[in-house]
Amino acid sequence: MLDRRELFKLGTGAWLGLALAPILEVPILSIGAPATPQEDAKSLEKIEKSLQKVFGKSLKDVKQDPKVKLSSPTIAENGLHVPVSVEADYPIEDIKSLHIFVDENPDPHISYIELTPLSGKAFFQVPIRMAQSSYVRGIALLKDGSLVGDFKFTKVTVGGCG
Amino acid sequence: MSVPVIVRVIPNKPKKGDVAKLMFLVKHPMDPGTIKDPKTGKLIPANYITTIDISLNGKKIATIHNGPGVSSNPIFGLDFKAEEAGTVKMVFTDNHGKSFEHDFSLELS
Repeated sequence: MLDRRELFKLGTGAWLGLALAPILEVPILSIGAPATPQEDAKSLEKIEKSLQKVFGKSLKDVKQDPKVKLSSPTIAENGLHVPVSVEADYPIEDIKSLHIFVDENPDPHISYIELTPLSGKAFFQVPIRMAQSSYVRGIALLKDGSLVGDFKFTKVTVGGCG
Repeated sequence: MSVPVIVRVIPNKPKKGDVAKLMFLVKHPMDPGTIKDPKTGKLIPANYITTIDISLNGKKIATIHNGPGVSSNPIFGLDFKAEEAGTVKMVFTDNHGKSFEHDFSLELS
């Protein structure tokens, strides 16, 4: 049986180990490990197909532009209700429509808005369903036919597509 | 068919010519056709709003097109230019082709 003195010694040993761990690069706990977004061929095929159907273009034609801002949560607790919004800082005359795509959904083309000069500013907010963790893509179609967008990975804990 | 719609304009009374935010909640199940009824185990048939036309005094502001991936009781948000006071009309159409309307009067400060 352990006596009090030995218990203390054990305790110091454990603390010493914890203190040395960062120097020795021993992983103690893996809390806070970053979620690695996977872009596997299967999900890319789905989004490529959908983009071909909607715009007749592939994902490589979509330029990532800091003027387009997509806001979607990093971790969504409920896949049934994920609030997403897209904003494009372009003059309203230059923008035709704003689209929201989710790679892993059965139908990746979730929703889009056709804008007119009376819209004033390109902004669209909609709550969406997400089947599983996936890339969310906010894409703006400009009048000259080019595509600009912003992509973000959203992790879903409980899927919401049945 | 009538569906409750709650509308909010932010700010409440925008200045003439300013860009204001229009947010509205549609009380609708938006069934995508892929979710099973937990009681019977059968699929709930698809029933969702596909298009929403929004116009101010007959002039088109925007058209929203939805797929099956939009949440139930969705809150939509968009911007519009408050050029004149009048009625904002929203026409909702679902995937069965049925449509219903909601309108409200826009006041300017």
